[in-house]
Amino acid sequence: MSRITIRLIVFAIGVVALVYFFFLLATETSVPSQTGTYEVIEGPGDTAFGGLFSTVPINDSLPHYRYKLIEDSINRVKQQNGITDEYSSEGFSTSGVGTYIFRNSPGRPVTEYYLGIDDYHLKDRSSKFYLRNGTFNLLYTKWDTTLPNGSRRGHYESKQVPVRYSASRSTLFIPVSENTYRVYQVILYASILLAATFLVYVMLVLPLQVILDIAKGRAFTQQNHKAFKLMGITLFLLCIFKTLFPYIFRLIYSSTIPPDFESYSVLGRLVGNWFGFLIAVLLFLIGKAFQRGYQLQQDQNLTI
Amino acid sequence: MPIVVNLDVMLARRKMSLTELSERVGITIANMSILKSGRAKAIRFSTLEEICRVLDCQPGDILEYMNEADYDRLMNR
Repeated sequence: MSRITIRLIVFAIGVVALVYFFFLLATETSVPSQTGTYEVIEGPGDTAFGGLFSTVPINDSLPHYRYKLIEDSINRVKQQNGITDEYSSEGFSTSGVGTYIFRNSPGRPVTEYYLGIDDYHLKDRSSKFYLRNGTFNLLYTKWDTTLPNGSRRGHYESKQVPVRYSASRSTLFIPVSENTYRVYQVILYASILLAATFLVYVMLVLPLQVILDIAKGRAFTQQNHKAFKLMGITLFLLCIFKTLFPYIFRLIYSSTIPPDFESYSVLGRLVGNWFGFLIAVLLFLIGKAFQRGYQLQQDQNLTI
Repeated sequence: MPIVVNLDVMLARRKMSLTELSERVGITIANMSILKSGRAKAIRFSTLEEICRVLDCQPGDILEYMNEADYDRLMNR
């Protein structure tokens, strides 16, 4: 590949990255441009959700027993209504997809099986997911009025959703049957095993072979330049796989996942893996350099 | 490669073996074989000088240019 071609490729990559950066800037809508305040009024009784959404303020100057009474009543609301947003699970994930078991959630079956997909967040950042009497619910803001100065007022409403969600992990949990859970578990374990075996060979054994060859003074050999190219291609494919693997399950369960949840676009995830792609390209280019070195070495060997 | 190395002719004229030539020129028999068989990509002037000195000949006596067709015919392609 000529120097001009390499420069053109680098320039093209730089232009694409720059255009995407400005595209992101132009479409960023996280902060509204209107002035005014946003005020959300909770429904009658701001302890209706047991302080789920925000800490219910209790007057610190009250006597301790009065303070404790109010605190206990808030917790009782939660318990009576089966409200909770805290739960624990066991499971594992790889490349953004995982299988999980939830046990002893209030109002739910003793053991539940889920498929977990990472990198999900609520479209409306003021929304909140919670369990209530064993059902999955979403607390969201419903705006009632918009005043001329841009301020809005609204209240919280709640609706049931078919999926579980963890904001701290940004993971959506889709209920599946035990058999489906086992099948997914086998698929994930098999993919991890295959990927790990291949990666150990490509990212550990091959580099060691190259290093040993270089140490013995045999840097520019056919095996070495092919090894670098294989490393580059493998890393590139791994980045593509990591990006696209969760999308397979998102497509399968697209009808189950409520529109209130959103995830990164494919392009966003690809850009998120930019460092892996960069290393892959560098390894491939080093392979090309070693290939040129091999050709020169051959010419040198055949120069009498 | 259309440059043909005619070592055989000169070796026959000087009644010398390839092994003796390689020893006197100071290159390995393997490299001399590569040169004789036409697989060499290049030859150093120093090597050519030594060969010409040992065989008492001119570079043109051992190097010959052929066009592609004649070269392919020679190589039986």
